[in-house]
Amino acid sequence: MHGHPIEFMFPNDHGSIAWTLMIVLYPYITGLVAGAFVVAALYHVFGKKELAPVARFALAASFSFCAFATMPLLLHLHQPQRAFNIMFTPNFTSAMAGFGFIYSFYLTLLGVEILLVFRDDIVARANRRGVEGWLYKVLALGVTNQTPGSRALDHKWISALSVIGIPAACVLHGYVGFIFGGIKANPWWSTALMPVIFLCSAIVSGVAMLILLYVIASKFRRVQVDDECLRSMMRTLWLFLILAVALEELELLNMAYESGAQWAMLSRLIHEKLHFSFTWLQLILGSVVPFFLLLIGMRRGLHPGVRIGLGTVSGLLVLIQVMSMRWNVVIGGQLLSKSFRGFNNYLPEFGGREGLGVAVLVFCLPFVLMFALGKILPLWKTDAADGH
Amino acid sequence: MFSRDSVHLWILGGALAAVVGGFLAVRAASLPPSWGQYGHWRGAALKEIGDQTRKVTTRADCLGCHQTPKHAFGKKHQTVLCSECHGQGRAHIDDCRSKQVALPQGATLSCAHDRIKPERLVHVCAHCHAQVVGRPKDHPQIDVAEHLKDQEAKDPKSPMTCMQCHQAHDPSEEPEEADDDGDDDGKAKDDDDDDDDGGAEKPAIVPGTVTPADAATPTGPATATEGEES
Amino acid sequence: MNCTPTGCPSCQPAAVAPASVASPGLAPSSATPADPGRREFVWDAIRTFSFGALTLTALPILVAEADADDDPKAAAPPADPSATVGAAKRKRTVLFGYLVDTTKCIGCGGCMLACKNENAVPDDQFRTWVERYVYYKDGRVEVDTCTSGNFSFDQKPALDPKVVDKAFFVPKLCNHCVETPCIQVCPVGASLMTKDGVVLIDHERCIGCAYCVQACPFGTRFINHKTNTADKCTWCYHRVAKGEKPACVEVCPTGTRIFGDINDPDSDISKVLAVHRIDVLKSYLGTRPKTRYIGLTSEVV
Repeated sequence: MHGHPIEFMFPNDHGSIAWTLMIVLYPYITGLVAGAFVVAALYHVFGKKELAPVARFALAASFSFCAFATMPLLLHLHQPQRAFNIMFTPNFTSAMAGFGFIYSFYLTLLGVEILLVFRDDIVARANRRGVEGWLYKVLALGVTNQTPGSRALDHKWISALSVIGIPAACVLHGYVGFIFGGIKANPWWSTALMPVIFLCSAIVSGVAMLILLYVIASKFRRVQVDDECLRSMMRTLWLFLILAVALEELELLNMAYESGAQWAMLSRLIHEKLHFSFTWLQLILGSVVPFFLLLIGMRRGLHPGVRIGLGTVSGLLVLIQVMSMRWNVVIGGQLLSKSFRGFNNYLPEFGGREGLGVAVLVFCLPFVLMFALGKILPLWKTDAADGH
Repeated sequence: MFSRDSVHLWILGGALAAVVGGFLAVRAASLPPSWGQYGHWRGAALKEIGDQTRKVTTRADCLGCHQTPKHAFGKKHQTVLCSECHGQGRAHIDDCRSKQVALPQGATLSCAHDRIKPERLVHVCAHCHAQVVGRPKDHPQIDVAEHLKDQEAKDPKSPMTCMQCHQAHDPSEEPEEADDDGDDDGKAKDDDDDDDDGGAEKPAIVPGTVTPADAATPTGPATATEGEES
Repeated sequence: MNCTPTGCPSCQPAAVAPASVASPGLAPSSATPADPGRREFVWDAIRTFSFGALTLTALPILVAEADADDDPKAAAPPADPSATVGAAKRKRTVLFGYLVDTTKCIGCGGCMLACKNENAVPDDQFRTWVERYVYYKDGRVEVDTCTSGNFSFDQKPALDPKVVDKAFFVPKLCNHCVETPCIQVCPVGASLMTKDGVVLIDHERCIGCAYCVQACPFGTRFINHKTNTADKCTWCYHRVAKGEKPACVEVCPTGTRIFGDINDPDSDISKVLAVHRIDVLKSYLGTRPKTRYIGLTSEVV
């Protein structure tokens, strides 16, 4: 009888959105943290030997991304000098209040695990002269000798930290998913599946990043890419990609099938506002194409060069996919006004605290740290001999 | 447990404990004193919010100093604030109090259009009474241009144009004829000089008896006494 | 580097319990079975202690839940307790409520102007606004609002009444919900509810994360450009605490906006609430708004 109303937005929704590019970047970075850690955990906890060549690097990569995870948040806050309020007076009914503690815990866990995993090398280098020597002495925590007993203790703690690190990684990224999933005001966000979707796509992004970095680093180091290691990572990526995409599509399918009150507008959101970033980047280029590339790329007996090529391209596409998934969730959810009658627009600015320039800069920093860590510690040493 | 082999772990543990201890110390130092007074929030916030200055004045605020206007309030516009047409607000009250302005006997709220703020000039009445889709059908509304033409209003651009026939303080059902004898009493020159309040209530104030000192707190309407016709 | 004999799990499965490393999971097969009597005792002790611990932790939670059910969250007196209208005399807890009678609104925008003046709200942001719902004869329903000039709808281009079935205005403002999603999600405790039911923001504590802005289903929260903190309608608490009405209620010429103590059966608002059919916005979300409406339709969101 009376048709659907046309464009109207609540005045406070009009013209601007509250969570911008920085809030797209933050889950992307923490996703890489969790994902890289899972690869290291697959080696340390689940005994996937073939991942030995990247196990140490995975930890370093996880740590490097974690070190800069707070930057997008600080750049977003309108009162960043009060940021510590979140740890001084956390309101525990708020998922976001978990950030301070979860993040600190995880960064500490990663830091400690790196100190222990690389302890042999650190101790060995502690005898060097000058500033270098002091650096390694500090990293060695002042104790510059090792005994079989201390090595055993270190082993034990590394195992324990790896085991604790897995649920910790799930919480680190799961809580971000819950921040969105627990908002009943936003029909694009509100779903119980959100923490799981975020976690799965986090693992996907982490593995993809490691594949890419492994291939690139091997080129620079002029070292052959370990075929079994690459194959294992590609298979892991493929499996988690299926899981992540299945969950995302299931969520959409359920919404479309039930065709609730807001479905008409959400459908318009997908088709009109998110057409490029969702249909093309996230679904087709980012999920369907890598699915097939990986399917071929993980076959046994494939020529190593072909595998590397397929792995690299898939990795890159998947990284773009996860970025667009974050965009579609964070930005997409805000493009529909709370009036459910109109859409906003958002294009990040180039300059400014939350602009593209800053985003690119922040995203480069973890790689700089990885490079620096590579100078200090043997990130690529394979531990096959001693099994950790 | 504490052996040579675990020294480095103990040092690590100690360093972490120191960090946690440092955090707790900083927290204790920076936590606001009124935190948790009433709940998981800063108790002092209530006072800060309560101390915000009030700006919008009530009718009682105006009548605290100014007497009943010569056209007594009718029922219809009881709920329209003085400031809607006459402007001014709390700043004006504070200003007068600080200057200790003494009202001369019989001071009235200025009725003239020089008191109406420029941005209100054009739409003082049309603001509420222009015909707009959405307004309830029983709300008096007119197509302004047509109405002015029909009524052959003089000087249709003036903000006082509506006042030629209608009394702003007592817009009764029947618009009055134009006040064309120039004495600004709202009646046409041939009308009898009878009581014109149409039986409406008079929230009167004894003229000239209210001084700024008495008006220090906003009061409700004083007991009704007959005001003088001027 | 060689494996040490002290039992790294990945190369030495747990057949041997190493002497110098206490690894809880490593030595089941080498343990001797415990004495049955001792085992019984141990299990009994575990059961007793668990039950006791559970009860001890559960009880305070249950008691707290029972208490929390009665009143809206948080307990605080209003800023000037003796000035809250009638409270001292009647010795009853004041609970404020707001009522919007959309059948009376004429869209004059006086409320919006008063709010802007009273609370220094930035130009393009709104603590309250008025929407107009227009039902056209051809079946369309269009919604608009006036957010410029003096906010009166008579400034807007006139619509043709001949093609309109019906139209009405719906003022919007913070709903001061009982089950506030905004207070729930604030990570630092900058969002609070007073004992008399008013939801406020502590501008000194807010970090500007905008989580509350996202969580509010009604679009009434925003990040204020000037203060760089979250902001919203406060029911003019600074006026209410001194016995006055919110600015918008004070100004409204048609009696559309009503405010008062809903715990007082003699208040204006209680009398209206007792008689009319009352609705709230987005009731399906369960936030239990304390801003109630008369005259809503299903198209009003």
